[in-house]
Amino acid sequence: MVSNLIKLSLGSLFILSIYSCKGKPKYVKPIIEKKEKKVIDTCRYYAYDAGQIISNLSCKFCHLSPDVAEKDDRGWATFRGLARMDSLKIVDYTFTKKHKGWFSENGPYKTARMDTLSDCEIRNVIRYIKDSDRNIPLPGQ
Amino acid sequence: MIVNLIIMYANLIDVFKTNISMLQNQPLSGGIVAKNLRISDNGSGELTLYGDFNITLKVLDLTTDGAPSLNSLMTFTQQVITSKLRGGGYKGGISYFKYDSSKKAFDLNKNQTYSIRYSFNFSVNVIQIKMLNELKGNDFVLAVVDSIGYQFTDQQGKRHYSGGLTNGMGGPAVISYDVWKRYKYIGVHEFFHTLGLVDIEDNSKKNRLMYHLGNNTGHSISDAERGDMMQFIMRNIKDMTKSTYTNLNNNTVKLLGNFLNSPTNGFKFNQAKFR
Ligand SMILES: [Zn+2]
Repeated sequence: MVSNLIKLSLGSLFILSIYSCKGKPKYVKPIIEKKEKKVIDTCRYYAYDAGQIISNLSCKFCHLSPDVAEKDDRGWATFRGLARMDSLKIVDYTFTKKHKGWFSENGPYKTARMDTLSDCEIRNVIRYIKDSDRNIPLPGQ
Repeated sequence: MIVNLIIMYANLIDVFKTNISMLQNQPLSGGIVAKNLRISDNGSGELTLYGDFNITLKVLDLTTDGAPSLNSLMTFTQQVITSKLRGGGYKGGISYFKYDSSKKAFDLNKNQTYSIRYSFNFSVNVIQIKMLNELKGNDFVLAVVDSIGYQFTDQQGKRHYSGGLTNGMGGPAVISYDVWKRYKYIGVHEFFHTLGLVDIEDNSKKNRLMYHLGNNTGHSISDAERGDMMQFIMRNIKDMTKSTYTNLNNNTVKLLGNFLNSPTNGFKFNQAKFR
């Protein structure tokens, strides 16, 4: 407990000294913390918005959405097939590797502007894909 | 002259033979039946898709005391679905493969970004079925029940009763007869869930058919939503290079049975009618 307090005060002293070197005001740290908190709070899931992103990226032209099977007759993953994949795998393949580079800066689909998606939007796209296989009843009215 | 007639006759027989074998291989039935499909390429990045689509939605009355207004509600639903699907659709920025007009096929080795114009004609039929065995694997169905117990929470954390529930893309859909009588559009709203659309909760979009928190000020469908429904109905643009097709086997009967009997949905209906 006491050692923690010492660490804490030493830490703040250290931070304080760094900022004083740069001549920045000492209340910079609390502002950063506020920002981080805000980022977490603003990432809300709206199925409608996530659906629009998927529609604009035209995912369902290749990953067929009415299909019950996981793969189509060409062996390509259907939308349901995507939903049953590991989320991290989808993120890596689609958004990090830009889908074989097709959606990269110099790729053939560069106009699709996949690069402008925020982390929150990417997370919501993944949730939309996952939900499509969860048989969540869509309430109406 | 006579020779010509004989040749014509022989050709006709060929046409019949082709049609019969096609029907044998691929029975044209179900929620979506498409004919006269073709693609036209303007050569500068725009494809126009043509086709005649028959959409059939089967209505199954599972109410305890019967539904005297069912016919007029079904007529209304058929008219609204027809008018909402009319006018085709347009979508730019489609990342797909290059179309080869001479081969009437897509070249999977060449990427291409297209604008797509849907020029589809729709004939919509909302029909009542009396017995469960009139429901086939790939049909669309709207089951009418006495009431729905399921409640949902909106973005603001407010709880709402449901007038209808759809089991995601492809359906089936279930609606409460009492709510349908009070809010005529709910049949169309649920069917459009079946065609892949999602609910809207944005306060500024109360004029939209898919807004689902009550007190709608209108029932419009956006161009983007219409485009998404066209895409769902078409399923696979590759199929547009064939001349006919039907939608996939969804095993609607089994899905409906599971959906109706799922306790979380809280459907009240005449069990004797679902056998
Ligand atoms: Zn809804």
